[in-house]
Amino acid sequence: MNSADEHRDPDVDAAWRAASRDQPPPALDAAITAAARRAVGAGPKRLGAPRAWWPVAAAAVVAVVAIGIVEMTPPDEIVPTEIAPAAPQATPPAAPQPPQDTRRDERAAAPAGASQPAPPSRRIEAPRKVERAAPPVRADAPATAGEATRGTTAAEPAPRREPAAAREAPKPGVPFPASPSDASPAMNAAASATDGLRAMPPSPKARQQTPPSSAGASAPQAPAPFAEDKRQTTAGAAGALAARPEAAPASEPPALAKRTKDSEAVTDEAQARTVDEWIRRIRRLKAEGRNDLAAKELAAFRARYQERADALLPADLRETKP
Amino acid sequence: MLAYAAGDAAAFDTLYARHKSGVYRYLLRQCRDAGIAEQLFQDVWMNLIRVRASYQPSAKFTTWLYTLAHNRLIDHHRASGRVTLVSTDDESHADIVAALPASRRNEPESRASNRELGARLKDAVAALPAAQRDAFLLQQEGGLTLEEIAALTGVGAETVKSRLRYATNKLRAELADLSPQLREDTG
Repeated sequence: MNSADEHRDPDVDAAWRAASRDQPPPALDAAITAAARRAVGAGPKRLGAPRAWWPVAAAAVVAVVAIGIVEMTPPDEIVPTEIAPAAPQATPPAAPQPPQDTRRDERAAAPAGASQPAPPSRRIEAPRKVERAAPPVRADAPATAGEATRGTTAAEPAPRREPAAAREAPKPGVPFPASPSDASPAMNAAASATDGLRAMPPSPKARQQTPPSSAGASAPQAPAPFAEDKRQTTAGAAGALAARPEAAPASEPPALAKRTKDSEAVTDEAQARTVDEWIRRIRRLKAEGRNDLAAKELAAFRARYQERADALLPADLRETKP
Repeated sequence: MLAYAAGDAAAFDTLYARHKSGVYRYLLRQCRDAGIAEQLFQDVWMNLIRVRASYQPSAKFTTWLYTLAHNRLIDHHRASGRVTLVSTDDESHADIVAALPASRRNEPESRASNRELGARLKDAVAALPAAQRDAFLLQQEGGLTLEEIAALTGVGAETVKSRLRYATNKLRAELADLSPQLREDTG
């Protein structure tokens, strides 16, 4: 009992409770409760709208910023970090069989990319279209006088095609197809062509002396460099539009075809080459016995990547000093 | 009240059902006019609805609600020129207390018409000085403690205690002749 209760009289309290039973009129009750409901009926909606709007707006801002950062990130910052771990895996044993080594390098490189996530479908579509259009162009390409004089068959356009491939290439994270079933039909055709070549491995010299006309006759009988290039084109998404520059020799003037091999080795376009493509090219040149050109490519590679060059190069090329 | 301030209309219904009778009777006994009491009653609840967002639970809700009613009543008395909420136990107000009308129980016609217990009690309360009546009604209708009444009316706890004591004694004296009947009716 509190201090106020000390002064209470039970009789008075009971009498008051019995006497005082007045109630407000029901109409007044209804009016007041209706006013109360109207007052809060408008309030929470005004407060609720911003609560529902803010999370959506914040998520949209975060998404836009993230996409912007991804789009603005230069691909060169990503290439070495993803290619470098794969390069040592692709390192072949120092075998004296140049053609087989070349193919082995390519096959070793493919699984490294295959472990990466599947590429977006739109990036696969581009190589298919190009590959369908490529064979007729390829068949005509060796007929040019420039290549006939060089006697290097269809492998020679590669230096110009690789920069284009690198330029057109998707980001380095875009992988090779995970399995043959995932590959495009053109890719499978190129793989079968390479398998056919493996059954009758030609020597590097014989391969260089193969007439261009025979190379253009049919794809399975194409010379190894052409098959390699085709495989490179189809195996990597980097080859999306690689066949487009292949058509260039057919329309180029003969004077352009007279450029020396050395000048082709180190071009401005080579700067756009990816590390993997560069390593493959150096190996191929070494396998073909063109050590001087391989050394120049290696020197160019070292000049491009400088102190990172040793980290990017596989062991066999790292020890090779230009 | 916090739930209602957050937008829960059902919370207001609960509050209103719990306190409407006490507030209405408090106002009715103070102003003695049903029409005016209803107007003041509506003003109190509308004021509560209007200031719901600024409600701070620093005290019991009942205290806050009766503070709104008390202040509205003072405003009404000021507007009508009747500000008589003075303490009758304060010697400085002795002249005012002397000027207060006597209880109507001494009026023969009043006694003849108010035979009923409830009516006599209401008359007795109405005959109390305003400050004592205010304290009594806050205690009876609002269920407020002595300290809460003191805080609400802005006087000391001892003053409230004195007012309640005076009011209770007067009511008991008023109902002395009806005590056996009162016990039977309320027991």
